[in-house]
Amino acid sequence: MLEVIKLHKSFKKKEVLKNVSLEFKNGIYGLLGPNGAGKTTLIRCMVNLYDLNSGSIEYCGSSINGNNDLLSNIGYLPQKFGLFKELTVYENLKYFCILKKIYKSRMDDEIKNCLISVNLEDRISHKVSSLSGGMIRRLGIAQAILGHPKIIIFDEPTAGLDPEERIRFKNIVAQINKDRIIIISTHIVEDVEASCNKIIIMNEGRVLKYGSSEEIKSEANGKVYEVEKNLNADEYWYVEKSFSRNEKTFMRILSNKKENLKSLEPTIEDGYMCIVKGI
Amino acid sequence: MNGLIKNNLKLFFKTKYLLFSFLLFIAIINIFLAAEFYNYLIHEDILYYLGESQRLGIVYFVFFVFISYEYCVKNKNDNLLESISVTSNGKFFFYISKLITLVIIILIMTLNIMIYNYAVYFLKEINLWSFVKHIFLNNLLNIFLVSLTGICIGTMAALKLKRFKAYFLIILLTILISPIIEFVPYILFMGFGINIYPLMNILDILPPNLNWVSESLYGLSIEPYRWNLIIFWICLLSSAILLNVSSKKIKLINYISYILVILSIYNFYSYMNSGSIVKKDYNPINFTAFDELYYSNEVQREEKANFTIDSYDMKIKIDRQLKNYVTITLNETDVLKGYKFTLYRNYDIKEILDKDNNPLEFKRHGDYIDVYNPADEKLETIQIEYSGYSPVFYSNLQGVLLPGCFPYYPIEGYRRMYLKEQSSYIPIIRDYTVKFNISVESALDIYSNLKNEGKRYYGEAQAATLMGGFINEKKYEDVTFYGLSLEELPKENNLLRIDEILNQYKSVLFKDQYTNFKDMKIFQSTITLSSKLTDNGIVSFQDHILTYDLSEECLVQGFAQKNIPYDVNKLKVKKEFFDYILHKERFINISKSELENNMIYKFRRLFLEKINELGEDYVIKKTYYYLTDENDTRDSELFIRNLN
Repeated sequence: MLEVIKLHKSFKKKEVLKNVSLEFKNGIYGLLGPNGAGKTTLIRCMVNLYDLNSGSIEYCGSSINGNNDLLSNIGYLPQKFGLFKELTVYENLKYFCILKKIYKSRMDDEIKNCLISVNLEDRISHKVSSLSGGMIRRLGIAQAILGHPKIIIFDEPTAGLDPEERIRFKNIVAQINKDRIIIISTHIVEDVEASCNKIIIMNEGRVLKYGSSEEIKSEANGKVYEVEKNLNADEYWYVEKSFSRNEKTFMRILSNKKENLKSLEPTIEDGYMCIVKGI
Repeated sequence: MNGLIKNNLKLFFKTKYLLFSFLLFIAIINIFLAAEFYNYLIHEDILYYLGESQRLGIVYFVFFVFISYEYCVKNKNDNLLESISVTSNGKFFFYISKLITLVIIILIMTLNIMIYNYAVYFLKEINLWSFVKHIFLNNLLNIFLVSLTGICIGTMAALKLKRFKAYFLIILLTILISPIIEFVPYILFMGFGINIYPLMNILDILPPNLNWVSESLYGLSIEPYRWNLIIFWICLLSSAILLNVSSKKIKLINYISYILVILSIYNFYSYMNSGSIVKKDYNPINFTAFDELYYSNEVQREEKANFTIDSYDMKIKIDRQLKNYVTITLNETDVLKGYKFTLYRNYDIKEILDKDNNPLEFKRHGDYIDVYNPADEKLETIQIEYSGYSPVFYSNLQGVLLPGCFPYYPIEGYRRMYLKEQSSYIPIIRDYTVKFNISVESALDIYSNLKNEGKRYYGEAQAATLMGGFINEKKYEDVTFYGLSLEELPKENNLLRIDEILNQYKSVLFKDQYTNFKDMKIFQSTITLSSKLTDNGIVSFQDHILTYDLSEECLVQGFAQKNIPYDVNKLKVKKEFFDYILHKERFINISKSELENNMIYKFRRLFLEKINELGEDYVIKKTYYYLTDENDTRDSELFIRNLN
């Protein structure tokens, strides 16, 4: 079990994480929050890139801070990911195998298996510079899962990817899910909806909600309405989106006041917005 | 780590602009070395070739700063570092393996230069193990360590700075380190009296003296202070790199970083206490400027001592500088209240004791010492302990140039030792002999005019000359020649026919006594000695001679001068006299207009007029008697005008 206990992190005077406490067991976790919510800072604390101001992060009861054995159990795909463009796919992964201290005798099999997992086995001898953005991201996933880490953390893994690659990502995650903690940080709600067992919603350095997708959805029960656009907007409404139907424009709104309007079934996105906006 | 290094090498050579830069660098280096090799085949000066090759230090520095910056910053820009940093000590191993990769490239490129140097060495066939070592140490210091410093700077810049700032720093450092900036401190010092040399010297990691004529006894500068300076920078920068690339929690790396900081402080302290160095620049504390500026004031005195010296017992230790513990046995006719000595001013006296080890009061004013006798009896013995160095007459781990005519040990009386009109040192030669017993502790083989048993030098002589470095001993019948190992002697060895040569001048130059060759020692002067001593560095003692080469003219003057007491007032006549005898054709063939209009020939004109007027034989004979007569105190001009 991975535990984040009363974590505080500041950069100079700016407090970025405020008393964050979380628990992760095997499964897939979605870390949702708007830009600047503190997701990346939390992740960087978890992978030991940042020192903590206070609190601790423990894996199976041991602090992860400076513990090389525990750190070798973490696979990480950062938000901005690059590789040695001049080297081949194989050479790049070999480089990571060495850094992750994977035995030489196991390296080739490990590389092959990881590439199969991300559907890049046919590109093994290709130079990285010849791969597309989506392929590079998949290669990033491959380097993260090298050495069978017990914890895998993806920071904004689908940012900038086309729909096909995003689906592929979800499939990969579903495939590598066994006996591991997988944390996916994103601000795209769809990414976590189907695949995550638990969702953590963060904003302004705090954890606002920790629960299953149903629990997140339930936060918006009775708060989602559809109204025509020409109706005078109430100041308590939060307009999620506008859309057209039968040559009329409608709005999907959130409101914590009981409205005499057409009520809608909440989605996880509605739940997320209610939590973040305090509706 | 091996795997990482292999992949890093692959990465280096697969990155187009790094590979292109590297190939360009190899091409420039090899074209330069090959061109110099061609020059070597013409002039065959092995030390010059080594010096030229060491000039490449600046090219290596610039290349490795640039390449290490680009190589390290590249992956930072590729957003690779974050995922690497997450692996156990990943960032540390990543950077260290990169540094090792660059060090491997430096090693290859240092070997590149060494191959040329050793090729030249084998062509020269000098079989001098100390020079083999010298080549290695020069390349290690001036190429390998300079490049390593470049790598440390480049890596630090990659870790800490954005491209614009990094390139600004690289360019600035290159300018500050390179010799092109030398004129700035000189102008500031000469023009405004502002001395920024100490600041500039801290960045002075490149080999000095390369634009000056090389010192064959000494080789190129590889003194300990240069190692200290470069190790100071490497330790300081590498500790900063380690602290930057490793997690603060890795105690071992923290300890290594602290050790590196301590090492850098120690090396900086040692650098500040550099001792004797040979740095031929215009810095007021280096080389000839040190004395030229000092003696430009009226600081010199002349006073005969009212005692003589019976013997010197010296315990000399030469490491970074000279340390001497000398016991002087005096010969006093009366009880004296004070004893006057001359000892070069940059030797600091620690203490002066009497024969019972009681401290004696003394006063130091420049080169002169007054030792006071508190008792009403003769002192008989004085013990003096001192240490220091001369920037010109060096004594350190690399070379020893202590001619007996330079007061590196106390000489009785006040003596003038510098002729500011000629910017030359005046040889101090006493007219009697004293007993010497010297033990020398030095890493070098020291050669002396005295008899030698292991590290002990003893015998009776006017002075004790000590020389060490690239020098070797050769016997030619009765004459022992201490020649500079790196300088080639002419094919026809004049020492083998010295008797025949001197015989030609017997009637003119050797008054009553003909010179005795038995146990005569000849030391080949270095360029420093020959250019900074009067008489072109030809100094003659009864038992040994210092001369810059073995030409007929130098040998004749060297042997003939033995019978001529040294007198500064007679220098002008002496010069014309020897020039006339030894280079007669050249002497008389100066064009008339030159002779009449050029001020430097003013005295020569007078001399020639007397020859034309009174006849050659008469003038030469009279001049020789004038030069050899100690009691004739007329100066040169008065003598020549009185000649009739």
